[in-house]
Amino acid sequence: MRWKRLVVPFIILFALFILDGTFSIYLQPLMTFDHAAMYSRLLFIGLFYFTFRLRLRYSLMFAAFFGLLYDSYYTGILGVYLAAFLITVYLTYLLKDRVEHTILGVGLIGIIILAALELIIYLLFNWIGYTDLAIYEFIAYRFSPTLLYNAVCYLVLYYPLKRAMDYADGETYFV
Amino acid sequence: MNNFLTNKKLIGILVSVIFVTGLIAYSLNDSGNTNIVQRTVNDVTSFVSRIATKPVEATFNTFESVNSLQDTFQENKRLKREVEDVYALQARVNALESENEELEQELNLKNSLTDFTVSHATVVSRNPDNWAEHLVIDKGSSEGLELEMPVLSQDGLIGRISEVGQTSSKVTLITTPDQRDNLVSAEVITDEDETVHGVIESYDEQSQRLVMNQITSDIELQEGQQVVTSGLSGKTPRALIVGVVDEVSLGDFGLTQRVYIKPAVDFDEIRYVTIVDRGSEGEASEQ
Repeated sequence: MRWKRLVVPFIILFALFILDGTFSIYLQPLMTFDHAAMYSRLLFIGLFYFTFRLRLRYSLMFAAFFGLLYDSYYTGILGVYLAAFLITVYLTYLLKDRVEHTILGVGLIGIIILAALELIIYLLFNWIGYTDLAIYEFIAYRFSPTLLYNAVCYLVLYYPLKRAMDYADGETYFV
Repeated sequence: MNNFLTNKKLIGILVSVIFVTGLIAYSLNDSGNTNIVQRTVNDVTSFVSRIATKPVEATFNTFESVNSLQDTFQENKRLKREVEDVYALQARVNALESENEELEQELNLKNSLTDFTVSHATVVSRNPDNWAEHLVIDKGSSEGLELEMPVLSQDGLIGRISEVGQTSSKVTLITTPDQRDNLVSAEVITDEDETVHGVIESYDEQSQRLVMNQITSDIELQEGQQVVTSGLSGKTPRALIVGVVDEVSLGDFGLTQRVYIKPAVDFDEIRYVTIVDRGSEGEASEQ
């Protein structure tokens, strides 16, 4: 079924989008320390994984849609996540055939792309004056902890995402 | 890969850069409430996330109740001691309130800066990245919420309402570095009879303290003095707690004092909020 290939990822991405915001109410006190803070990027993990499974056109459509939704619902500044998600999804597309399609190979690219995403968002927010954190402070305070935290999230989410996509495709796939 | 930058793609990239820049500029510049499309989309999304909050909340509450069971004994001892103080305070407050009422009647004061009504709301989502700190709460214009109303949590000021939808609204925290119209006019309660006015302008991310500037008085401020809103700006009433003075230093030009304030609220842990409504009469008498 053709519609299933798009509806299943859409529902999953929407669920991840909502969970990001709900978790942060409860997890923020646990994940903010004196010298480090972690922020979850579940939606990005979903977008990133589906780029391996969907055509570029659909991945970019999802990136644009959820980027705009993220901007409108969470940050209130349209354009930041729209740009960040579009660029990172396209980067993923460019890099995706250069690694073995295993959980670790995909994860390796994931870390690189997530680093790019965090940097793009930091630079954009810095540019419009929403933060005066210097770049070295940013790297120590939230960049590295966030990468670590989301790497763990990726390992947890990988198989559920894969199973859901296998179900949508009606066939198992290597990634 | 080698024809990565063909003419067509280059033009596409240029157009998208301009488009995104335009979008950012648009959303940074719009004053007042956001446009209707955004508000409707946010309303619908908040409805979905309200449903999602329930099971997540239940799970966390279970963990927390186990955790809090362990400190219950210690806490109970401490609370018993505090309750006695509260009774004494309550009696004093009652006496002061009735005295205040009498005095107000004598002076024919209809609305003072301290009058307000409150309503409560639950946080349904919070911005997962912390750059611009926003909360989405489950009440909107149908419950009488309006733009710029101050919001409290744990009895301390946390921010103001920055977007109102039909059934949900957005709260911008005072820790957000975007201070276009987020300035809070505050006063320090000193031992002398004079009040010291100032404006809370920014938030120091490193030390997690609020910064108060534009202090008009020469009175030397001390650490530990309480900072409350002064009720001189917008829809904020008087005497909402902001925090306590943590450090006093000289301002940019060395002429005025700059005060670092330790906020009364833990900004990481906000689940329920209180919205303060100063009432329409209050505004009328102000004009």
